[in-house]
Amino acid sequence: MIWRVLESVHGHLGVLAVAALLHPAILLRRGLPLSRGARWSVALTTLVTLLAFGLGVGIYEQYRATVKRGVFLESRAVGFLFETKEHLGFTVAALALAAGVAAWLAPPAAVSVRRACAATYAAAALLCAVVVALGTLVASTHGF
Amino acid sequence: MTQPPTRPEDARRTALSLAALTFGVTSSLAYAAQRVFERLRGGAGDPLLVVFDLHTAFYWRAATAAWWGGVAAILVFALASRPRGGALHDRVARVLGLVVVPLALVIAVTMWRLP
Repeated sequence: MIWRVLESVHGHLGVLAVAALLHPAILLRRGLPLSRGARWSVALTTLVTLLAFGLGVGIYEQYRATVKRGVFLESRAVGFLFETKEHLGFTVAALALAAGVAAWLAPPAAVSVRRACAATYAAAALLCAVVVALGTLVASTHGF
Repeated sequence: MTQPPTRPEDARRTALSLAALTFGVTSSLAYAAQRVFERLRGGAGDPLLVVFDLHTAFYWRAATAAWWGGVAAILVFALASRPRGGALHDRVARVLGLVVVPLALVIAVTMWRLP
């Protein structure tokens, strides 16, 4: 029961992360200095994304032991899509962390740096949407 | 366009920001490269091996990718922190901004074809 709840929380945090990653991608696209609210946005976006990733890593061992075999028995293709999701999850976490730190540290005059942060957030949001879609597909095939 | 930093503290913060972005791009690329290497060495995935494989491989792959990301970040920080490094800031930021989205798409397709 607890694993099913954690799986759901992980999925919901993932969906939240997609929306959260889009926000700074739009906010930083002009390269303007961060307001106080934007700083909160950047920090919370990174936090939510890392939480979703960390929770996924945390429940993986139980998932492997009790669920993964069932996913492959249901569909070999979906089983491998879970692997794709895992790899892309690392990329999303790395990009979100990098963009968060960079946007937080960039001085007011660093317009190009903040634009690069916006592009990095956009890339992370795109990949996170793919991760969420794959996660939903896998969970609807077989779950805890 | 990024104005050349006038204060040493701003130059340092810009260099740190560029290093952080470099870390993100390089570690993502290093992770995908390792996975491609594993697939080329090990052949097509076997569901039985995937099911029984411990997560240790993932941790090592992620740690190694983070290490490469850290090395690249240190190099960029060292270059961008030099007294004349200010000229590099705008160029590096533009390149990173241009490559990151196409790179993400390439990684997504690669990880789909080589799970």
